Amino acid sequence: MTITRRNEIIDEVTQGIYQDFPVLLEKFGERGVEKCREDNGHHLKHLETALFLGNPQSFIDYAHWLDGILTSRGMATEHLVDNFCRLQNAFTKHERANAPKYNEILESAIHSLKKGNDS
Amino acid sequence: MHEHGAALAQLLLEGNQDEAWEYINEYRKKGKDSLYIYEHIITAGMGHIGSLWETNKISVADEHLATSTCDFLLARYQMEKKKEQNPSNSKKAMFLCVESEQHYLGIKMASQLFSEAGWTTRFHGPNLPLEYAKKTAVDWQPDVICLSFSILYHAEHLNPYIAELEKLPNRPIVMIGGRLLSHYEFSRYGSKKTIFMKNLEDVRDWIKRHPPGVKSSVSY
Repeated sequence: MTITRRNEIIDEVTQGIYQDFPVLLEKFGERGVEKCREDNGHHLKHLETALFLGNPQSFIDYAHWLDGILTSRGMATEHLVDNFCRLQNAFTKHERANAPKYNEILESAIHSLKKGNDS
Repeated sequence: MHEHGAALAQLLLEGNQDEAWEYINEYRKKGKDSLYIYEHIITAGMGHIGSLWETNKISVADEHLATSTCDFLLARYQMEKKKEQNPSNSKKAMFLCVESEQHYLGIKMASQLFSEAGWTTRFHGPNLPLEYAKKTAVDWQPDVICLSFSILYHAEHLNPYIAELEKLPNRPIVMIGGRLLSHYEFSRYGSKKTIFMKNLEDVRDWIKRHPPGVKSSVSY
């Protein structure tokens, strides 16, 4: 993935989150926006590595590890699931050639997070 | 292992260098070897610290204090071990974390296992970009270069590091280590010559099979 493409995806996901949840800006300010961009940068890097390794489980493990960190700090699993869904939409729009492969991994992670949340 | 983890972690979080030292020194005096102390006490302790941070029970500042206290502990342990050893005049091994990688305690323990076995070692710590790693390797000509990473996507650095370092004139062996290697397969980042170490036991076993001896022109 090129840096330009990566930034397009991060921009789209971050803008979408803040458009749908404007209270986040009041609550966390500009630092929150930076953190959201950084987090999505990490998601993309983990996805690329998982794809290169041919090991989707590595991304699923990352998702659960991150979910534990976020929920211990007051967030809900749904927030991470929502973020991953937005990434899927962004991939479909901006990275068509590889979107199916990335989205399959994201789907596995979403499914695993939801399953973990249900148990 | 769990009891060691929590007990040492508490001392590290207090920044209590003296009591942390006494804790591991007791096991050293009872005859526990370095591999046991590194894996079952120190790594367990830092693993417990990691869990505490992940579950928001300690802060980043707490984790940094624990890390620096652990760093001191490792240095003091090595100083004690060196009193028992003969000076080395043998093969050389270089240790570093790849660019952006800040977690260095594991590879520090690996470097100390090599040193204890009589190797001449240099430990370069966290986040050493390839251009500097290569320059120092050209100058120092280590027989072995050990790279470490702990975050999954830092693996993207492995291929350029391995490719550049393995083709240096003295053809060093390049070893890769880090906690993720016991979970995932990273061999596609390396060559057929690259050695991937899953844990410190693998490091210890490799060292046993490759005593440093006196430098010769014979390669592995």
